[in-house]
Amino acid sequence: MRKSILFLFGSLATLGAWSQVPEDALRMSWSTPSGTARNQAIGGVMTSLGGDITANFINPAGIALYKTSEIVFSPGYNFFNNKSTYRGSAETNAKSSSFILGTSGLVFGISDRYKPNKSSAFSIAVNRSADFNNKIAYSGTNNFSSFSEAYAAEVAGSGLSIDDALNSSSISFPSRMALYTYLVDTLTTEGFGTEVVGTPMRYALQHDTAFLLNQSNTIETSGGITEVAISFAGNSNDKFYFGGSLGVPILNYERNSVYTETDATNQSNNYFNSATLRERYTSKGVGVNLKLGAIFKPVNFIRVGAAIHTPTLYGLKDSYDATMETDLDNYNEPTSVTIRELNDGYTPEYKYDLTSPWRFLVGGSYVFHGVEDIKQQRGFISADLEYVTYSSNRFKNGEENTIDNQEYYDAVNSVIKQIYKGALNAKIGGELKFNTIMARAGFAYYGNPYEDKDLDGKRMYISGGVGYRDKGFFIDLAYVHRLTDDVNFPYRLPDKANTYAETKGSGGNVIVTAGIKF
Amino acid sequence: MIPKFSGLLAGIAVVALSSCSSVYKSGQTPDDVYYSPGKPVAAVAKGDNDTEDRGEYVETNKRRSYNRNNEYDSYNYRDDQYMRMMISSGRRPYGYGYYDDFAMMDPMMYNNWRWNSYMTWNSPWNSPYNSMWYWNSFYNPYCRPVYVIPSGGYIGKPGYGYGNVVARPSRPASAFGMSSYLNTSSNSNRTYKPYSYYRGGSYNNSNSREYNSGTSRRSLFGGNSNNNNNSSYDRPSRSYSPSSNTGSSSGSRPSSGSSGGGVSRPARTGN
Repeated sequence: MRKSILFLFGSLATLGAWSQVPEDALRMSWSTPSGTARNQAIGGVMTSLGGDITANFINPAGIALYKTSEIVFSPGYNFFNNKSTYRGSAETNAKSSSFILGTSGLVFGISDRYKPNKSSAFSIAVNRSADFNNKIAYSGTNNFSSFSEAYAAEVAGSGLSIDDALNSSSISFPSRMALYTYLVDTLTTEGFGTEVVGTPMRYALQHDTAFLLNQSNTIETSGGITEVAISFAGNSNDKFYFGGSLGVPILNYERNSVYTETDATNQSNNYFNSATLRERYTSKGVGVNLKLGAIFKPVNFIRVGAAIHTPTLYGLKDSYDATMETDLDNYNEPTSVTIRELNDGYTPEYKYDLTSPWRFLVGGSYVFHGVEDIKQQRGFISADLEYVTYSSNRFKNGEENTIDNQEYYDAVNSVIKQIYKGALNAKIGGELKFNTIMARAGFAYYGNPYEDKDLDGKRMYISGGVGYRDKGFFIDLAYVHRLTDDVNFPYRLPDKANTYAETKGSGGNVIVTAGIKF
Repeated sequence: MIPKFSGLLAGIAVVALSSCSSVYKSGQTPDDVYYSPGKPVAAVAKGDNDTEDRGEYVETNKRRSYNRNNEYDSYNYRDDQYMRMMISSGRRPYGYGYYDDFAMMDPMMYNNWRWNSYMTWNSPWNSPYNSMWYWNSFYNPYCRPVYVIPSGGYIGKPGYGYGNVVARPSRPASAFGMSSYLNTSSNSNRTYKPYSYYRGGSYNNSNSREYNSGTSRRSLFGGNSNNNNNSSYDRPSRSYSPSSNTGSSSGSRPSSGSSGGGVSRPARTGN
């Protein structure tokens, strides 16, 4: 098992090599730290602390600590550098950057001068709970397998003839494109009979010689999940705080990739020169979820909290477009085909539901001098534990008159249960306060969601920041540094050992939060 | 939508930052993480045992009201004040009409999320019959689907019509093959059926040795170069044996709407 430390943020997107496959469920549920600058600087802890608008998205009971009101805006900037290796090749770098939006919105604290020990609060906020902006690239040589084998295996396993498979809705589009361009064809050899083979390996299989392929893959993704939340919270005797939040995440995802395989043997007339698959996949939709939580403050300096996030029910619509180009030396003339040519001139679209995991959170805080006089407030330390049931992601067919498609989604769900597991996330952070100036630091560890111990998917976030609060105005600055590892499968073979690229990511995001008390 | 929403928030923030007259410009600015001060508490009456026991507060307005248990009832008082305000303005109080100009002006309702709050009862979101409650998003898969109808029956020159269910262009349940995740090697490959078994844990992430065109393929990856026995490790069985009953045999996923006709691959031109 590799010991490398993963940093991911955008590497969520590196997982999304297919649509409506297990990686999609993980990408949409593998949220990353987000919040105000103050919250991100302290590692994202907010289950027990409260008093920050980020509580809308972690523990709504934290809103109940407000008896005042404020408006908050949190612009930010994200950058990353992914270094990937593939089958022992040299590292390939991919850099990019994007603007992001931390938690922004309004909080209305509502206190009653006649009932000073009771108050309520209302908040509406928006947050970028996942950012899909990412880019990875890798290349290497391979003398073991070809991406065309995935299509060959699918066609062989279908029991369909070549002509029927080319028009069958039981066969995936890339496989049908591979058939159309002769990247996949039948081969009859002594001892093996007639097989379905990938043309890049055809010569080697036919003549029992070695083969060598150059493989490269570039994946660029964009979009994210922006969640709008409306929260109500109440406070009883300044000891019990409780709240609920209705969340509406808006998902927008686009992935563009180019996979190329070329002959690395410098041989002519070995049936293969090059093949390229260009894909564009988009996914859009809206979801809904509920977050409930409570905070108990037995004494002035201790707070404990717990929250539960229901799964988000997404209604999603995907579209997929692709082009395959092949140059098969002496086997066939250069050929290209698009999805639309195989789909009666239409770009295929898919509607389905996705149910995201449950989240269970507990936390504790120690507040140094939580008193009214600002000059006596000294700081706090807080920690959260979060358990996410990644294996409970579920797809459901969302199209009428296509009940049979549910069989496909049942298979996806079955795989999700087997390849993902529940993961524990831990966060800790603190603040030192010097009257109007504050200094903060935090650390977050996100556990590996992969069941397979060979695959590493943990993430670490190291953060720090400063803040200033005076004259009814506050401004905070934070920097969060990410360390991630991830894996990317350029293709998956159902009946043969697979290969994958390892990606080490580093980068960070700078976020500023400005707000006004009123 | 996201940029628009961000722009709206930015606009709100800019306006607020530039024009908001903060009540905390002088004095300390509260930090709700540590302590939230709330509104100044009304002075507590001293010397009256009853009011002290109940945590009562002195009203400067003497129009206090009591319920039948002779307890102070702030809500009765607030209703009283509200009624006087409405009557004096010539308007009808709540309960007599939908529109209530004073609902948000009630000085005692601003902190009350209960039934008499404008934000609760007068909100169109509150009606169970209001369509806003429904999951009527464009993306809602349970909404009546909109099908694209090729005009004149000629597929490929799309015209658009709505409401009629027609055969759509043939395409798989997913754009991609789930079979890549599923074990197809240990079962019959004559029919396609997603097997609920994930074949993982088998990886090959390095090349065995330098390429040599004279090297036997099978000698590289565990196969036996001295015979023709297949090495399932590097050459799994992918026999081509199409069934005569294509696409609709038991266990296979039926076609979800074939458009008929279909595509034929062009004739191969090479050797």
